[in-house]
Amino acid sequence: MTSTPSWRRTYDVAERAVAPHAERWVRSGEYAQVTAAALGVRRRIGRVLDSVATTGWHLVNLPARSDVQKLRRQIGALDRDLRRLSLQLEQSRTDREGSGQ
Amino acid sequence: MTTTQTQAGLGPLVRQQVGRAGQRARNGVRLATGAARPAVGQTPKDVVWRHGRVELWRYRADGNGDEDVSARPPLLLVFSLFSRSYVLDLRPGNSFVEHLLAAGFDVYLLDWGVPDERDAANRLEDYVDDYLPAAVQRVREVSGAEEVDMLGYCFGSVLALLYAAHHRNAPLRSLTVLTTPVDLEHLGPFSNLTTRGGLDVTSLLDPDGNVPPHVIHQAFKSLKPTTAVTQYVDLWQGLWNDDYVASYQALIGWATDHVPLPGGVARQLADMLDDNAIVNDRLVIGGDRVHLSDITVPFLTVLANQDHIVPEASASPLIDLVGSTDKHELRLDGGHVGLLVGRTAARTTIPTIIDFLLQKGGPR
Repeated sequence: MTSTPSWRRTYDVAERAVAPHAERWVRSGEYAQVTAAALGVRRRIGRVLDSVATTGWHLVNLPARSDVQKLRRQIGALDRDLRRLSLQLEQSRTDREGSGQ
Repeated sequence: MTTTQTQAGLGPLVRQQVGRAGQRARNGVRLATGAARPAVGQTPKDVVWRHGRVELWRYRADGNGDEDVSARPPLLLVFSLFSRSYVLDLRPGNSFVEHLLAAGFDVYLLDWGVPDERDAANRLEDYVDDYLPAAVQRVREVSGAEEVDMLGYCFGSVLALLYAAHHRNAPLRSLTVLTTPVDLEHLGPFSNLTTRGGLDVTSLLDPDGNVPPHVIHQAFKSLKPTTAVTQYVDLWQGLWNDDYVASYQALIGWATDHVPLPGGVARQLADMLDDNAIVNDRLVIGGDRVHLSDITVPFLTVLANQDHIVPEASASPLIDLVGSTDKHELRLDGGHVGLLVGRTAARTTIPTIIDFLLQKGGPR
């Protein structure tokens, strides 16, 4: 059987010492607030860049990425409604057959 | 010990280390170049139902047909919405599905696929009230059985619980759930971000309306911050071993291979986190109040005491919430994935689950 090398034992000791502190930090309210704020900033920057790009495309009378995405989401919502309806139809047909009607 | 004896003892050790250094270099190059990726999800299967991105797979008992199926009713595996289902059939020789087939089960897996903008509006109702009933019906048609055993893993367990609670006459013979988040306050960073950080889930959504996989990956990674380093240390230690490297690639590959989470589900989950809805009995599905106490089928919940994703404290209240009289809780020594993958799983967890299912189902 291979024994654990000394460098690994050293790492494990260090990891055991650090891990509880790191885990406590990521489970704290402060971490949640910092992360939420950072995500908010990233989102705002993204929106500004998107809006600049959208204005550029609209100036030359072309649809921007956001327009295409909006359209795809709308088609997606329709697709979902159809999907749900067909599944529910299938289910009610099965129920009817099951009850012998 | 004389100097000559010491030198004689060092010889093989030096040769071993030199040999391993060579193997490390070779495997390191393979990893870095992405060559020799291990094959995952290799057990032969057939798609027996498909709707949207969702597929129902039936695994072949012996690779040819169903002659080896000796246990009944059929077993339907319900996977999580956050990652890919191939972890249940990771590698030949290290596969939960293989064990189930070897035990004689007729195994089905409901794979949710990879959501895109067409799934952005999906809510839990889509899965609990539409896909799951349709899949259960299809399993009954294909197998010819009246009832189905259902087994959920991680968030798939939550879906299975909601299905069993919302469909009281569901044709279930038994329900087994593994690593199920129930007390959502104990999910750490996941619940903190919305409850204490005030994060609006909408801010996480991609333009396609889903939570992108990289956000999900970062969220999982933050649960155990030192893992990012430890996994490379583990890799360095085992890099000389071809088998280890293949297992590492398969497992780490899976752990970083998330799928988008539909935005509608993400919003519902945020509300559930705020309310801690499962333990507080405030679940609403399709406009109906859903109570886990309405679940009455034989029930098994399996917890892992080293689970850093769904800590024991999050999963442990479940046994008291379920209404079944025939209910069991199993606490095992292992991590979130270790329940299904690896040597401990093969020795302990999987045989225990199989025993439970065989007791409740019985031979064909």
